[in-house]
Amino acid sequence: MDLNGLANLVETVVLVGLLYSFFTVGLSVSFRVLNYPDLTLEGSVILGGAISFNALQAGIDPTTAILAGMLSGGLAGLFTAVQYLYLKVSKLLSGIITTAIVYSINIRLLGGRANARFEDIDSLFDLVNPLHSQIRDILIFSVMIVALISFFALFFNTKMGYMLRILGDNPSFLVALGNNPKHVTLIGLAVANSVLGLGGAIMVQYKSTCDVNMSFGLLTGALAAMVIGESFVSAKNMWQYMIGSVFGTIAYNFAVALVLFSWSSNYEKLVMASDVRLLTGILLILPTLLKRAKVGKYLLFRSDW
Amino acid sequence: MFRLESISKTFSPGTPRQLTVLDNVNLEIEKGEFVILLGSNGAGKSTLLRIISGDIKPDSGRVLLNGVELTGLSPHERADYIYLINQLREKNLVSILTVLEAFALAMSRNKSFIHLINRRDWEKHVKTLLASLKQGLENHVNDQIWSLSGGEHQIITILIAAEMIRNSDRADSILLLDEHLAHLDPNSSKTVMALTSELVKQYALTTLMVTHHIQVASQYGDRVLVLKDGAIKYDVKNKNGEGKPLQHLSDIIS
Repeated sequence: MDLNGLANLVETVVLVGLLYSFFTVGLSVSFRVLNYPDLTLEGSVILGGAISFNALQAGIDPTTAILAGMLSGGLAGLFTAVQYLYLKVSKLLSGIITTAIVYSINIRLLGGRANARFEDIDSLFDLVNPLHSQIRDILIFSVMIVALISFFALFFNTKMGYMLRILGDNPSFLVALGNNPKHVTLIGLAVANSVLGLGGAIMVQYKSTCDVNMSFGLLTGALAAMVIGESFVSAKNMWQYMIGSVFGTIAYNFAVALVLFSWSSNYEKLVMASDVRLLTGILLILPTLLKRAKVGKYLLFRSDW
Repeated sequence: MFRLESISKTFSPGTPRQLTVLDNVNLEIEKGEFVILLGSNGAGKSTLLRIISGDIKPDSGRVLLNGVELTGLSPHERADYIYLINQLREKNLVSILTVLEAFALAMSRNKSFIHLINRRDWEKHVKTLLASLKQGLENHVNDQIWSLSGGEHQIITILIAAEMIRNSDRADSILLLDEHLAHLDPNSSKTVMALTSELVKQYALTTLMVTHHIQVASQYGDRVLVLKDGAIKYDVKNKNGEGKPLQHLSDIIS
């Protein structure tokens, strides 16, 4: 591969890594901060995308369409929380059920089809980056991710942000402070899935297409990215942790790109494209093993998932 | 004044495992009184405390504080009136917060959700408070709570409870201590108990403490109760820690 090709590969990996960071960040809010293994991800991402797609089709401006996608993700999170809190469904099952239900809703939202493309409608990216320069796309994503991390850095210093962290550690202390742990769970899952819906809405506008199968493998990918990020950066606060998540996501996508690249070049006899899942599994196991070996001095979460 | 009116509780009613734990219990506690509740395992001490904190609903009876009925309120709604300290330390505080953060949150409990928690605003106050205990805890304000020893952990818990009760609008809340010395070594146990007694006196906290230690009860309690067979079988004022009338308690308890 020549230098140009390599630069191109790195660019693509960074771009996809930044986009997928929304999913890693959203997932870590539920898995780590709330200590809730929320599997709603593949539902709320596509719901956010499909709602954003429909909003654009209805002539709503791209930014509002993205916000609508974000809100719909939050609603999916609320639905998951309601199942667990009031309908006595287990934590793991609640997210799986939401994803199953949302899958059918998404197909209805796309007019009974599994996928749909924009026709003559400008997405946010068509407006901001009409020439579709890859570098400019990376810049746009960078700005978005910086905004997201800055928001959370502030949010986790507010009383509400602390409440979410307390919920993941000891709900009894929430009670002692006079707060209802159920309400904090509702807010926490709504926040986590809003980020996922937001990511989905942005992804759909970036790709100019919405496909219900786009979410295939996103959950394990985001989990692997989260675990890799944690082994990269031993974070002492949420701000550092989320930076680590972004690096983890880029690193994970680099590993995926290597598999795909080997497959498409001289090593096709050794590697298959479908080996990405195999790699993801290994990447999920390895950092966990390494982390067990060294005991951290600082404990940012007490998550057992 | 704090009042329990004919509290009854039966677990698994109508089954072979039916168990009446509390049978028409009545109790009045004066403001500022330090009451210690003794009883053997399974006597219903914890059940009584959990009925007061709202974690368990009584079959009948009422819980009242200064005429306000608490019986129907859920635990978080009672937080303005009641502070419960558990024997399991991880139930009392948040392991991933620093000591300072825990205090800052306790002091900000009446603030809105978007209130920014600024640890430095509280640093001086918390350090002074901890230094006054002469346990060297003021050097640990920025340590995470999981790294504290069991004794230090319970000391911080009691201080936070006292500060929260003192700073709330209802300074006449009741402090519930559910065997908070249970998992401590003898030395820490002494330190924590001495501090408990000191804070209860200093802030005139109305306190109901559950313990197995007759010695502790006779030394610190203003009043000692024994719960047995679902009822309060012994209730004596123990002013100035005379301790003498309590020596025969072990016979009553067992």
